[in-house]
Amino acid sequence: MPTRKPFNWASAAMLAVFGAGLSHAGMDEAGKWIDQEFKDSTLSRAQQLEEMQWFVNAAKPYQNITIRVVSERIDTHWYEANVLTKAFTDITGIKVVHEITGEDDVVKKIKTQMDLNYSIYDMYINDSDLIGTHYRSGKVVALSDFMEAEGKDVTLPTLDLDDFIGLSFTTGPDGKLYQLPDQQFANLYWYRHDWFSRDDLKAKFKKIYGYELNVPANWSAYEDIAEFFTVHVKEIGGVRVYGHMDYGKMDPSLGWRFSDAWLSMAGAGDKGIPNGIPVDEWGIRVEDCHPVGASVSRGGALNGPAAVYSLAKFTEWLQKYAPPKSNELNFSQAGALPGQGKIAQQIFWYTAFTAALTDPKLPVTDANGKPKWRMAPSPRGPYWEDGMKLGYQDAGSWTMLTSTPLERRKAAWLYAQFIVSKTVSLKKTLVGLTPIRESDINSEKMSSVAHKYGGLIEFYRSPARKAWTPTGTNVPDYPALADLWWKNAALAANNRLTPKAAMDKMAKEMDGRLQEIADKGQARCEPKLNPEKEESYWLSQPGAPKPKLDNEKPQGVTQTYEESLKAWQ
Amino acid sequence: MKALICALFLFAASLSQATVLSLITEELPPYAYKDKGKIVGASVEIVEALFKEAGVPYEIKIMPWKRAFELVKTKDACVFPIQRSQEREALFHWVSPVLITQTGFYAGAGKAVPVTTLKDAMPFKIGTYRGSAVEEYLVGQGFTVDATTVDEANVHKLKAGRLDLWAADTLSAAYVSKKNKVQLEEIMVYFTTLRALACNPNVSESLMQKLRTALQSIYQKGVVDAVIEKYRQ
Repeated sequence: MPTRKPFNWASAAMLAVFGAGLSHAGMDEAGKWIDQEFKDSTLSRAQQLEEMQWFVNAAKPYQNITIRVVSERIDTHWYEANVLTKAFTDITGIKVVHEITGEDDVVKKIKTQMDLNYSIYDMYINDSDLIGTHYRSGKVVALSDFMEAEGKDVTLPTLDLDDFIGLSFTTGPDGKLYQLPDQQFANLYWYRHDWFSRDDLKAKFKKIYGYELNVPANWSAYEDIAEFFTVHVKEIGGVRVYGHMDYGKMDPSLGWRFSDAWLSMAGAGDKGIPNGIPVDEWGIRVEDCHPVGASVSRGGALNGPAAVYSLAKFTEWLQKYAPPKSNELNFSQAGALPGQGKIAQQIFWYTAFTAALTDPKLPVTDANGKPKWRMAPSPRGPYWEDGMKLGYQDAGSWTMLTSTPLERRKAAWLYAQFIVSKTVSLKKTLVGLTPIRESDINSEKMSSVAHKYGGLIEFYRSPARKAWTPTGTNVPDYPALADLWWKNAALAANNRLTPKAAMDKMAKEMDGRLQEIADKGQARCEPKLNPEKEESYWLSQPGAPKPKLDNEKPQGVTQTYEESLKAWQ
Repeated sequence: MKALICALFLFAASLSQATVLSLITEELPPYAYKDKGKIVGASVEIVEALFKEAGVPYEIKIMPWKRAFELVKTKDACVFPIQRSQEREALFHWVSPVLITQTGFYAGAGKAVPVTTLKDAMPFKIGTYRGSAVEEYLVGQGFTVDATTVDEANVHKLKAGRLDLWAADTLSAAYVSKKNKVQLEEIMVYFTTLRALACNPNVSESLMQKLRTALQSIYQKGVVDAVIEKYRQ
């Protein structure tokens, strides 16, 4: 859920020149935009024109409307807000204000509209982490229903839903599509390939740890490498370096560090893609679509041994291996450090930062902007087993609320489809590096630029992308529960509670909140808490919650970068 | 027995006195200002409706924003209308939103400034109110702005051609335009903000919950829309 630096205005400046003076919407404008901005497309020019002709016709009844939408602050959305809104207005005549704000604010705004039944925006680009909230709330329009019924006349015939890679994240347990992905990025392992390739450092690592310095496949190896750089290497080229980077300030952004799949990387949940069944990566158990508890005593895994282990390792690594005072930083402050050339590896890194780390001026790129770093699959914790999700993927997705008037929803749906259409999406992917369509990922254009992006395209072409998934449908009300993560994790990160005490407290509070959600009522599948039982009962059942391992630090395992890529095939 | 009743009475009286919650706001017309010694304004009317709906005793005071903000961090009181942000989230208990405000670009009468996106506004000379969230947002997006300590001065600068655009809250712009009898062109409303009532974390959770329920009720009754509409004119 990143929120970050301003968009590079200069790269889009040219657009304003021909975007500004056009007053008559229609196919002439469509032709200009296709020729000047949307040359990179998986469609032929004729197919693009045909697609745009549909927009021109479908938009006619809505030309007097100015629609208002909101999204978080990443490059993809800046491109949409500053360039694609102009293209859409020029071609269709419908005006758009696409507001950009922090992710936390987007969630607050959509929650406000849902709670108050008071229309603020015509559509939201909202992370699919809220899918469990949306399908239970009764306040979100099921897009699959809308496209068949009241929205049929404004649904793009060439939308090609099967081409979207993230629909499993945005589909409810009822099989209905509630959101349409607009951009996706994953959270992967990031490391300095140049340092890891140095013979002297490789020899030194092998002498100390007895195996090769390479991409860590498990948390044991990650920990060894973190110690190696922070404690044994210390300096490279006169610069103090560290084997780990993280953050721990009591701030909402600390929540993403955990809710974005940290427990599943340790192996706390059950098997199942996109999310563990019946226990997911939040440690919430669901039975027959009803959340039944997060505490081990109710069959959940939030305070189980694997979850406690994951928080303990987070805290230990932050304190021992990250730069001093990292526990006082928030997400944005910490995000700048890998680019400054002091960090050897980072276990939790969002690929939305790919473009930002290819700036030729940075010490982590060569003079041509070619990265000295690589991204690779996240290492897995000792509780992880085959068939489980292995990391997080963010899928910012178009979301329509029942409280928005129908005409406004229809006009907004046209804009939403325009900016994910095949005419536009390849160019948008090249700008923001947040792919949503299989056709774009497999395009020749993507092959020609893959070398610039440190493994991003390879990740998205591999089946691995299916094991990096957003928060799933077990979480019945994301905005009502999410603050528990940062409020409790911060207590452990700052040594105010032990990891076990923090997770026990959080599990109890999570159950309390689940009960409050049940008491308020939901349209469907509301929480129904299990009665409490001895923890030993649940720990002896198959799957999550899993009993404590005798050895939580098995032998470290590393792979060459090439081997780690092959693991994705 | 008599003594006990008396003591109970005194205890109850002190309790009820203790539950009069201090609500602090700043002088920010048309949201909050003094008119003939009375504190009035759009946000004041909404907060009054909220507390009446919840049946919670309150008193409203005006003081400089910085002092209000610091006071609520240390005393059992609430401040409004405050932007609920990630950075402030951990400091307070929240009732949100008591107001949904919008920010726009304004030009002098008859001026057609070609701005349909935030980026379009970048080359223009833009006036803002120093230290405001409006300034903070634009500077955060890489804008250079001309900030003043008196927001109304921006209207005169627009008229004199010393600014191309004024970035301002839509209700404040309407108020200032009317007060100064200066006509403005609304060029683009580019941002929406949720503004909240933020209370010291010692204010009880049950009281906060009561206020949150009352807030839903006043939105559904159309109270908030009616107040905003009144001040927009």
